Amino acid sequence: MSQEEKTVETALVGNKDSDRAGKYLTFQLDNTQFGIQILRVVELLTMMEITTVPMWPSFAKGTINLRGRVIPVVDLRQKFGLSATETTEQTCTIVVELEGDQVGIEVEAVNEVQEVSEDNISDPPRIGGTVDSDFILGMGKADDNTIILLNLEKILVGGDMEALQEVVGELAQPV
Amino acid sequence: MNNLTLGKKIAMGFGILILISVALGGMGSWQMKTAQMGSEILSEEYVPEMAVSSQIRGAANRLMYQMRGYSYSEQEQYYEMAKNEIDALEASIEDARALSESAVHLDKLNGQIKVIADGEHSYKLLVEQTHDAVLGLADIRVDLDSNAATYMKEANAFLESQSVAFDKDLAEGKTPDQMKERFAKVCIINEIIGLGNDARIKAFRSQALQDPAIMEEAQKNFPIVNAKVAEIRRITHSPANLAQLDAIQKGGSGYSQSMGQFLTSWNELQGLNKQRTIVGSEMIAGCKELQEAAEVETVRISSESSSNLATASLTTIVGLIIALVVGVLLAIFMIRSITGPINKVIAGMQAGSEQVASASGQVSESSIQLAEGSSEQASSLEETAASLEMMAAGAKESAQNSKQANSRSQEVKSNAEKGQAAMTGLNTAMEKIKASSDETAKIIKTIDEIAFQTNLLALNAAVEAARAGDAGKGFAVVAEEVRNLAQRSAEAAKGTADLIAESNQNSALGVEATGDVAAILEEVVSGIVEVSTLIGEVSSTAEEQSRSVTEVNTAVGQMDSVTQANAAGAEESASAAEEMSAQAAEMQTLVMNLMQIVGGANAEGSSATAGSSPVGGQGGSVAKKSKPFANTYGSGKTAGGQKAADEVIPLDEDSLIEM
Repeated sequence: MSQEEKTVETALVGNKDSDRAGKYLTFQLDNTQFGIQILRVVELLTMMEITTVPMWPSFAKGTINLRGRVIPVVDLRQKFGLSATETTEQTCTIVVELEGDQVGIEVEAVNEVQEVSEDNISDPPRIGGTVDSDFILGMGKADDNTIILLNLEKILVGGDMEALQEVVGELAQPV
Repeated sequence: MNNLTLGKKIAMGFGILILISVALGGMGSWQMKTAQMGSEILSEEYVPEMAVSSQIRGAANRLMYQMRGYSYSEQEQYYEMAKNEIDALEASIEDARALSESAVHLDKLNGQIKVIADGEHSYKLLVEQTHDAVLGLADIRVDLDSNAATYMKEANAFLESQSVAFDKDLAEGKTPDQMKERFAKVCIINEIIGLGNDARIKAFRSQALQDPAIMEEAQKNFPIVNAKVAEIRRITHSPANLAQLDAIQKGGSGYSQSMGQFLTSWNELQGLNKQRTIVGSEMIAGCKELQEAAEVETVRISSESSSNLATASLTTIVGLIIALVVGVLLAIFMIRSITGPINKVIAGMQAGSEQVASASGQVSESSIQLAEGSSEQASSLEETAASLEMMAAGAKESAQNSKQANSRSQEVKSNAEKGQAAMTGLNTAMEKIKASSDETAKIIKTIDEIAFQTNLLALNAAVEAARAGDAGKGFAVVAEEVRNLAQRSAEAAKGTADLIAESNQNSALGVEATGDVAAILEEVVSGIVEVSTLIGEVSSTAEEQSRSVTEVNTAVGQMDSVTQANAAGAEESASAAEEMSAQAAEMQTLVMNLMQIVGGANAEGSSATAGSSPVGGQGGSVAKKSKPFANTYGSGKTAGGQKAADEVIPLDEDSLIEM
């Protein structure tokens, strides 16, 4: 753990609902723009060779070897319940850091890094009691587009992801 | 049938008739002969057999009759007649024997004759025996009469003496006892006389009635007589009277004895009679058998003969009917088969001659027309020749023109081929353009990839800058700029790629169009080649045409001369046709004669009109021209009518068969 990483950690801890403004890396799934806080992003990768892991849920595509470090890759499309698409030249993997673990997120295309002010962020729309919108931080507006700002902790922490991280840890041990 | 010659048909017809008559005659005569043989056997054997057997039977019957008469009446004349009948019977048997020796079919006669002859022989013996028996009977009857006479005489004498003594006793006045005695004597002697008379009456009655029983009854009187005599003898004292009584007794016993003898002889005679009857009946039965056999045979033979004769007559009638029918049919068939073909020939000849006559008229007409036509033809032929020369000149010109066209088309062809080569060059150039634009597209793609990578790098840089916080702010700006550049270069690459894709598409279209043009040019070349060959053909045809026109020209000249010759020939054929019509008229006369021969005089009238009418129109020429025909025929006697016809159609057998 370096100094740099610690500051990131504190920045994340302080990142509450009132603290949604900042830079977001926007990407695209089915013509919908999503944004993740740039401080969560470790690296952007072009498509790498994915090692599929048996017994994993279908949204977990497998693992990649990033400079000697084995990290799990999640197909966000599947996680969101969207239909799977072919990988193209535009397909990228965004490596993010969550609670000290790194996770790869496969997206259709990466767009840009965008500054979203608090004024341009509204709360996620509430449709009914049953619909879960916890994974959305808010709806960002930039230019004419709407960006769904994702709460990665809600998506990728707990449940399945814990188990995945454990498996990945076991896999990484001998290396 | 139709293939047979006339001679064979006639021969066959008569042959069939002759065969039928021969068969009929043969059958009839055979059956007649059979009937005749039967009748001969009848007349020579069975009828004589019947006659002889009836003679024998008659003689036997008569003999038996005579003998029966003799045996009852005992008169000698019957016996004599019976002897005569025996002679006649023997003669008849001899006749029958001779017949049986000569006859062939009389099997029964020989055996029966023997039976009859044996019968006759035994009968003859019986006749003699009968004769003897009758004679014996006559002798016994004499004895009978004499004994009866003695008996009656002595009895009457005793009665006389008693009546005399009675009168004397009355006169002497004897005692009543004496008188009573005398009266008893008279009574007894009267009874004795009565018994004698009764016996005599019974004997006569028995003979008269032919009943021996009566005579046997008479015999019973004699023991009574003896008892009466013994009674009277007791009271008789005179020796004379006693002698009389002895005599009475003696006569009575003699009488009784004779009666016994008579009865014995009589019975013998009766037995003979029976035997005779049996033998005679046997003879007659033999005769009857013969007669019956002969009758049966006669009936059989006569019925056979009659049935044979009936069959013969039936056969003859049927045969005659068949012969009649066959003869009529054959006659009809032969008449048809002879007259039919001849009539056909006549009809054919008549029609032929009529046709020849009309045809020769037509020929003469048409040959006149031909002559006229050929002169017209000659003039038009000259015109034809002139126009043909013009045609020749035209043909030459067209040949030259076509040659020129040919050379021109060759030039066009070479030009088109050049165009084709140029098109090939163009095509390769287009292909090259397409290839180089493909290369360019690849380069552009690489640039695009680079731009993408750059973009990603810029984003990474931006991420790093963000993590660096305020320290990274300047770096973030640079990263943003780099990213903008990358995006621009990506857009430029995309625009270039679009352009190159368009130019690529255009060059493909160009290649396609070049291919089309090349194909069209190829078609043009092939079309030109075709045109060139066609023009060559036209040129050669035109040359050929000009040569042909020249040939036609010479041919027309020849035709002209031929037409002249035709005109002359037509005139000649006109005269020949007239000659032909004359010959046809001659032929019709001959046909008429033939019709007279076949159909008789009746056919003449109808055929004469039919024969003369078609030739009538040209009568003059026929009359004039008939002589040459006669000469060619070679007889020179055509005017002779019937005579000529006989020569024309010789009606001897050979020629008929040939027909």
